[in-house]
Amino acid sequence: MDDPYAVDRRGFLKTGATAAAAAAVACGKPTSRWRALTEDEAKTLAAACDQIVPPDQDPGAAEAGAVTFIDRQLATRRKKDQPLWRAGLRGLDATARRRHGKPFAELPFDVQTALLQDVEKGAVEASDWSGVEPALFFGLLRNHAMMSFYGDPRHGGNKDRVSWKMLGVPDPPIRGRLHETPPPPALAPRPPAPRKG
Amino acid sequence: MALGRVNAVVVGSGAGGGVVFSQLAEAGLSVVCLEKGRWHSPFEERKDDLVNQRNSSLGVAYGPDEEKNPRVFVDVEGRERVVYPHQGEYSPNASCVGGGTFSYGAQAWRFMPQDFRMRSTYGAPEGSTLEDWPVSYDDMEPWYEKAEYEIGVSGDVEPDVFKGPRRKPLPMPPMTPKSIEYEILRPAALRLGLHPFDTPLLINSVPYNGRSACMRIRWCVGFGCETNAKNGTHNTVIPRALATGNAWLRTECKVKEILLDDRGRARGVAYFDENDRLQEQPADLVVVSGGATESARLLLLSKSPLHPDGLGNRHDWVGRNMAGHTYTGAVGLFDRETYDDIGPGVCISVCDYNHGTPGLRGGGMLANEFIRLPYQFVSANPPGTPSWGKAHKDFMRRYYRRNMMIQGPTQDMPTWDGRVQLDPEVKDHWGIPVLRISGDNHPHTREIANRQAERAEAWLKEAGAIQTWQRRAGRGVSGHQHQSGTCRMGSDPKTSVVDATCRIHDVPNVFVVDASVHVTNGGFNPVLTIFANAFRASDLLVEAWKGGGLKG
Repeated sequence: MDDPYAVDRRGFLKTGATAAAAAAVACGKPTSRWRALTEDEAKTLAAACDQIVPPDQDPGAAEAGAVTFIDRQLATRRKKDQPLWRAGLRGLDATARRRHGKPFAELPFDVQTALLQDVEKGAVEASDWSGVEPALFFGLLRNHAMMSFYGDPRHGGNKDRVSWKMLGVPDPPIRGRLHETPPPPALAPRPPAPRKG
Repeated sequence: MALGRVNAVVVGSGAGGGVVFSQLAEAGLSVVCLEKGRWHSPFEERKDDLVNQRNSSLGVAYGPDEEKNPRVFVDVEGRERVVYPHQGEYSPNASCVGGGTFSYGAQAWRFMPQDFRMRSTYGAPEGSTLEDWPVSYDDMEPWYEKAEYEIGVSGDVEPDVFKGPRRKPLPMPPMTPKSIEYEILRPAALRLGLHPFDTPLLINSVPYNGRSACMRIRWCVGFGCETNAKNGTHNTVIPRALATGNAWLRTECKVKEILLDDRGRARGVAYFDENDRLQEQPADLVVVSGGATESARLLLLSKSPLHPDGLGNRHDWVGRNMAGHTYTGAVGLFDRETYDDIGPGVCISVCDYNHGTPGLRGGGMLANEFIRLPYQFVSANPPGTPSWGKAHKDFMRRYYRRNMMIQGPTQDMPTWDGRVQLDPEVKDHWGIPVLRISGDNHPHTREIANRQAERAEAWLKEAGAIQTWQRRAGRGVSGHQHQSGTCRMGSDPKTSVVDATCRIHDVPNVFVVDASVHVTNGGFNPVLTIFANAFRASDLLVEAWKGGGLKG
């Protein structure tokens, strides 16, 4: 129950076929690689996450898997937040188009930064933001991008423990023991809850 | 369906319930313990940075179930909303075998003698229900000792000149090796004229009670211990209870109400079992140990013609005076490495500021913080600096391994309006009214807490921090994992819920044994006091049982 993606190796083999079948039918957007997001939403989100943790000598949030992380949350634990995220990503793009004539992801990095600073302050055109307060969306974005980058890799972010290497957190922490379950296939269904003995 | 009658049913298996369960079973009573959550094995621990009791950004690890157990939170402006266990406003505590003790930070504090006599020592500030306990530190001392030895505590409190008298030292020495933070903070405290010492922890520093010593990993507070070196009820008293053969622990059982007979005495409890079937467990006596939020809820839910407003609630005291702790402190950045990955992190503390400051009614202990996992550090940037972007990433790289935090629990001034009650509309998965949490912390609590933040900052400055800032007191009723006070213990039935033996004043066979009965909550993590009081109350209960006073 602490990790809906937990699948051990045997579970991986057993559920592989089911997962592929489930993927074909469960995905509402057949043209998207994502479980909850559309391709366009994912593109906007990747650019926004790279603003929160930008790439420099170390990878940024998007390269470390931020979109995978957020997409998984929106398909599982935070399903009910989907409308907020969709409205927020729509708002970002609408503001970008109104001010610069292009979607958010196509703007230069510094222009994106300035735009997001306005979103954080709520200093954007309200008519572009129906369905979510800009500042609230910014809070969600900031927290989730940070979680994806600095949190545990099992949730789809922090690929190859990139942030932990960057910070100098010793790894592996416990000799002779993997502290986390190996990453599951992206579309594995949740295994049945174990019965208590 | 009614099950076979037992002598006692204990609701909850945390610090209070686990102890009572074992003491009644070992005295020969037949006992059923009903636990709402699951039994987690330490060996299935998989250390998720984002799903645990310390950081539940993505969810709680040890219950309660996220969707089935909503609550209603009313903020200081009076706005209300439905909240879930992963949110701070919920005042969550773990819901599993062992309760909070399965995953806690395990600080093992005795309250000080003044903490049991707060009203006599200071007088109540206006707007506070500050009161004395009906028992004293001297009454509690033997039970503190029993808790320290039977649950298991390491540390060295001898240098703490402010502590109450004690007959024996702690059973285990402090942890070695010392961490970098300890080596820097201890001499700094001494230079300030303070009395630093090794924080007492319910963690084995050496093999103890058949289990191994701590292996000093960073995933401690908020996590179950995979080496089983952290001591809670789940690996000490509960196995002892089960070994008697006359005790049964049932997990995933949600108690709906205490059943009463027409004389107003309890005859058992009704609960939903793991398959959501309604069951009745008849018993001669009932012990409520669900934690300060859920214990109050169960009493309020247990209505009858003789108790129309809930058990023990004749004078409207159930659910009032909720107090956890108002935490404040300071953060310091250093130009040298302070991170050595030696858990659990908290290791040095001072009690110089618990009492004795003119103008302040008490204070609290200060200690260094547990190891910060990377995500827990992302909001540690100095006030006014960017919380995202390139500058923030640079801050993380520069200071994740070069910082210290000192903080502490300020003793709350309890208030009449800091409370939990039943929500008139929202129900849980089982159709039972949920808790509604409302109120504010007392202005004097915030005043004390802000002084504590200044003191924490001074300690960090003396330790050589190149930049420091305070984390000052916020608003809102405090509850959280240190929740207490909602079924106050007292001698006067008009101003309290239970008597000094933890028995509800007007119900002869229902007891409340957890932090609900704490009159005040000390300037300390409260768990050792819960353990000690549970040993004390169990002893009195067994005595009354043998005297025949409790049998229906």
